[in-house]
Amino acid sequence: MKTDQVERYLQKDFLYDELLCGFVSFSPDGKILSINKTMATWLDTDLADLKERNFKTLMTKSSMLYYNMVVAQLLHVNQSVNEISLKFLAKDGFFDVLLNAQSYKNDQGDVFLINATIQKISERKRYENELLYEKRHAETERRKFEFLFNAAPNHIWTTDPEGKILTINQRVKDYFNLEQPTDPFGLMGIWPADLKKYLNRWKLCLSTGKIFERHIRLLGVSGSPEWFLIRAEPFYNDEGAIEMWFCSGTNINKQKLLELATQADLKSSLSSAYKTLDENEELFVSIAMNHSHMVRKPLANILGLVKLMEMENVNGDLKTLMELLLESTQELDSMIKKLNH
Amino acid sequence: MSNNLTGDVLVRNNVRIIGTGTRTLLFAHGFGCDQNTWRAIIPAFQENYQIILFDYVGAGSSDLSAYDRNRYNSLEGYAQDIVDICGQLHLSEITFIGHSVSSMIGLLALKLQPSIFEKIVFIGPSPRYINEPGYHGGIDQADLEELLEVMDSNYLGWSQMVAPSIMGNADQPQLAEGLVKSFCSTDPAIAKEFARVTFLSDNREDLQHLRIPSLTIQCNDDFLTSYAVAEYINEHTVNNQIIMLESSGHCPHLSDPDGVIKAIKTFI
Repeated sequence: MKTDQVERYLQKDFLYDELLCGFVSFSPDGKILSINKTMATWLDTDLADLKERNFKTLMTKSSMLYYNMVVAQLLHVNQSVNEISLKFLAKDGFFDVLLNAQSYKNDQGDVFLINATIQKISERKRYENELLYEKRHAETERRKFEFLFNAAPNHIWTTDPEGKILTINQRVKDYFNLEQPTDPFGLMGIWPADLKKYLNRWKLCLSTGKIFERHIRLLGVSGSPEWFLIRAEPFYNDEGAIEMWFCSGTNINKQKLLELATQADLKSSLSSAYKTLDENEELFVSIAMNHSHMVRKPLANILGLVKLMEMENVNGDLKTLMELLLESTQELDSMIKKLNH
Repeated sequence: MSNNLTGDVLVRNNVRIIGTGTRTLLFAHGFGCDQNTWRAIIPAFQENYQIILFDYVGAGSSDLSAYDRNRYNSLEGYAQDIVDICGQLHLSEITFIGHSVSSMIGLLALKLQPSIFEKIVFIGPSPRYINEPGYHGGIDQADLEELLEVMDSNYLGWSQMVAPSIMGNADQPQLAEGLVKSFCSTDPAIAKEFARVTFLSDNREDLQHLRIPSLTIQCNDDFLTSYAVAEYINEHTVNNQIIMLESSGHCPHLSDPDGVIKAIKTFI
């Protein structure tokens, strides 16, 4: 049963004024034609005073700019807008709102009235601002990463867990003269002679999660293969699964060619040294033989002469000296024989 | 007559040719809408003029993938779009009508290609929006920062809801005309960059190069520009005239199409 009080509360005038949102009717130039009490309360302004005001002056300057540049045009062209985020002025600053509006046109196609509802969203806005802050932060970080990704002097690319290329940086694009990878696994850029060893290792790494690191030749727009140090490391997600691979290629062509050339030189030098040693040994043996022959001939004479002298009758000190001379001569002969062997 | 055009530039900028006539009018929309903003103006000219309409990259049905941050980080990039369109259609010595920021974009296109226009119409123009000592552009640097924040708020999803709700509005017979597919829809990220480029631009030095006849159409009560700004343009150019409209706002082609049509017809 409806009481008098309920009847009063259900009257349209009461409902209009007590709506849980602001309600404003205004002409296209912004002149307020009607405004409800809820809106006046939020604006902290007398209802009568508001009816003399321009709707656009209730907003902050930035919101008024946005309204005029975007919303007003939409209301002319499309006749309605939904959930436009704006700020309205209050005595102690401003409050955030969402605005829905509908415009009405006369027979000539001119807008003559705009009705708008305004929903205060201070709490929701706080949360939205947090989201906006996070979004901006993420966007800044993304742009920094993108800059680094392209500014780095190395080839950088990413692949999915199966090795399919996801992104390539500017260095890769420039090196192979392409905008996007034409070959999903990037195999066409590898010098054919290195392809097998690359694939064997890469497949192993993809299946085990081991870090890939190999010297591989790549063939870019220059037409000549160049040595690169290719490195790929898996990135694990929170669940512990490989989400993607971060790969890099560092041009080591000069160092590698120098290294290969040095290795060849070293090999050649060692061969030459061994040959010289062999030759020297031969020469030494030959010299030793010759010298032995030359030295042993007079030594044999000395031995013969000493033995002839022993046959003479020699006594005393002379005999002792003769024995010492023979002993030394035999010792020298023995030493030369050893050297020959 | 409406031609479906092909060609990279024409697709990129969603170029449309309407009307018949030997003289050509090129209409360039301002910030916040697309070529549909001219819908109340076009019928008055399409019988006697060939009308070229287009969307800047990022607006309307333009090719969003053609947006290049480096190209469009100044108004010259947008001016080059106009030069490209005229080049593709072999147009020269035509009449250019630009709303708001497009006024200065037209001026820059003329600087890039002096034979491109024979007459130029500015609607609510401004060579510099930011206030400076001795120059009242209309907004302060702080206002611009806040405006970009408001745009960001409407970038989170609210503004994207605008287009679908409009598309579903069966109450608009214009939708059936085939003239339009989208309604002032703009890519929010590009729109924000466009706003930044627009409001930070300073084309006061370029005004001296304007030698062809020009017309400034200015409303009495324009939140973004003013009679003082129109006067500044008049004083710094040769052969410029001002027509003040009684209507208010920054978009008289929407709020007072008859006034704009009359002003343009008088001038061309």
